Amino acid sequence: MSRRYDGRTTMFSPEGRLFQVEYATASIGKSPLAIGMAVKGGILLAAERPTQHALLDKEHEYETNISREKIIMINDHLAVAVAGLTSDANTLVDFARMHSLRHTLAYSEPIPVESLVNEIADVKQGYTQVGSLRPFGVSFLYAGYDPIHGLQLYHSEPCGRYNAWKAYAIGNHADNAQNMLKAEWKENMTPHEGMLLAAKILAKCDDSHASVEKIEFALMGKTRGSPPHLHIHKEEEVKVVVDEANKIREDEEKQKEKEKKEKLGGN
Amino acid sequence: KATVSVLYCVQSLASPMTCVNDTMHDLRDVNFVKAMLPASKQQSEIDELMAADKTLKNVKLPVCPRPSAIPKLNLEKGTTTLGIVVKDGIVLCVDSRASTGEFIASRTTQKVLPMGKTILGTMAGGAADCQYWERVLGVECRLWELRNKTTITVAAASKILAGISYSRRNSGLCMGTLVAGWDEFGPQLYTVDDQGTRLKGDKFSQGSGSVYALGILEEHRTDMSIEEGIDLGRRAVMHATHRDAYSGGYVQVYVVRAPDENGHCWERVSRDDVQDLYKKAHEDGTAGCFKDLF
Repeated sequence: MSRRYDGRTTMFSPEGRLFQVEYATASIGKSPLAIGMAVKGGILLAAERPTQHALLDKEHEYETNISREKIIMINDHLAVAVAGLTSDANTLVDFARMHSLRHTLAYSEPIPVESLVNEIADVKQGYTQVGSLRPFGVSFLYAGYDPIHGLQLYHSEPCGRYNAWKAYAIGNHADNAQNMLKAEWKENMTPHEGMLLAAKILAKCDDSHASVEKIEFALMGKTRGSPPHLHIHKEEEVKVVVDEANKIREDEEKQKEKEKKEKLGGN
Repeated sequence: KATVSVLYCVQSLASPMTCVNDTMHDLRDVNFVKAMLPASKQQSEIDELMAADKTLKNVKLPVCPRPSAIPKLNLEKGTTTLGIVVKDGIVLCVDSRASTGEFIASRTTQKVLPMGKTILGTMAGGAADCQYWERVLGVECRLWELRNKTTITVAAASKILAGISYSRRNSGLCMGTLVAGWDEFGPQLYTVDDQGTRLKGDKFSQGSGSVYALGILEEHRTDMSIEEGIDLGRRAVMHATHRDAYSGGYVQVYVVRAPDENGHCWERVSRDDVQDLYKKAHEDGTAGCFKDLF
């Protein structure tokens, strides 16, 4: 792994790697975890809130139950969860907003989700090839609805690649989270079950108990007859989920303790 | 003969005022040919052209007016739109006729365009200009909401549109709009012009029928109730459509009020055929100023 080839975005290494892009991906691994999963009637986005400094003026924030860094609305039918450098993310989010509205101006319809994801991915790719600018250190999880494919969840990387997913995790401990999702995500979970699963994963990856200060949820929901709508869960709703998740975890632990004792007792 | 008449129609649609070069020219007219050619052409080339002309002996071709000869378009903004601020909101009334020259292109034009939940814009003048730029304004209002997480003020929205008009004031835009909405300052009504004029007020009317409507609107007071305002506005458009050839169709009444629980400020109150209204008004005897005498 030669470091001679990592000085520029526009240089391949002899093994065919773009180091700057890989470093960008590594920087995302330091950002708080964000999870997206398809549930019944919507796409659920869950994120670990970044630790809040005591001196932060939260009273004057628009919404106290969302950190403005992790889950952001692009348009009525599209929202993203962010992992990575916040400033890079803000630039891309603004671009996404303008692009989606330009599409509406030109075609009188909300932009299809994949179309927007493709466009953002192309922008990201451009910064890995053209102009010798550093790549965006951001990964997005896009939750959106369009009449063509219905509810969709996409993930885009700094290299400009994107895929559609049923469930995906980005950020810190994303591999662990992804394994847990693979084991426990099921088709057609209700949003509540999805939130419990997300809370469990977030708590486990953080090696702590789930708490309201650490978790935020948003559901890009679509029911028949009404337009798609991003519902950002209020603190009370999050608290209900978090309490239940903690209770389930406690019960499981008690169960394990019991089984352990029985085993030892048996021996 | 049929082709000639079509060409004449095309000319008059493009320039409703008198066209300068109406006559047919004979291409055998040397002076005419010379005038049409660029100055760089040599005499020999002109002779060649004249020689080739022999095949066109008996054909008189119509003349296309040269660019400098196209007269200034004086589109009178054939429409009637009006907006009045009343005690608890704003009443907007528009007609629904679109005319191209003397032809009524549509009697069901939509001349009110919403910009989100809180702002309405009306259209007078060139339909294309109004529709396009008001949709752009709608996009800018939405971008504002997404970026600033708050609804845009009417002052800002009208300023955006005025900026658009002013930067293009010499391009021949023909657009008269009323921007009406409810924000934290209450009901706000602005008029924005294709020259970039932007005025705030309680009572505006635009279009060719505005002269008639403004006469009826003299009874307007800012402390009228919304129902009185609706009645007044509707009557004003009705009378204007009666006398103005370029207004007609339906009168649509929109009202802007304080936001409801969803943040929605405007609604469409009614849509009446002006001819029915006029007939009814005369049956009732409520056509105008005589009602107080009886």
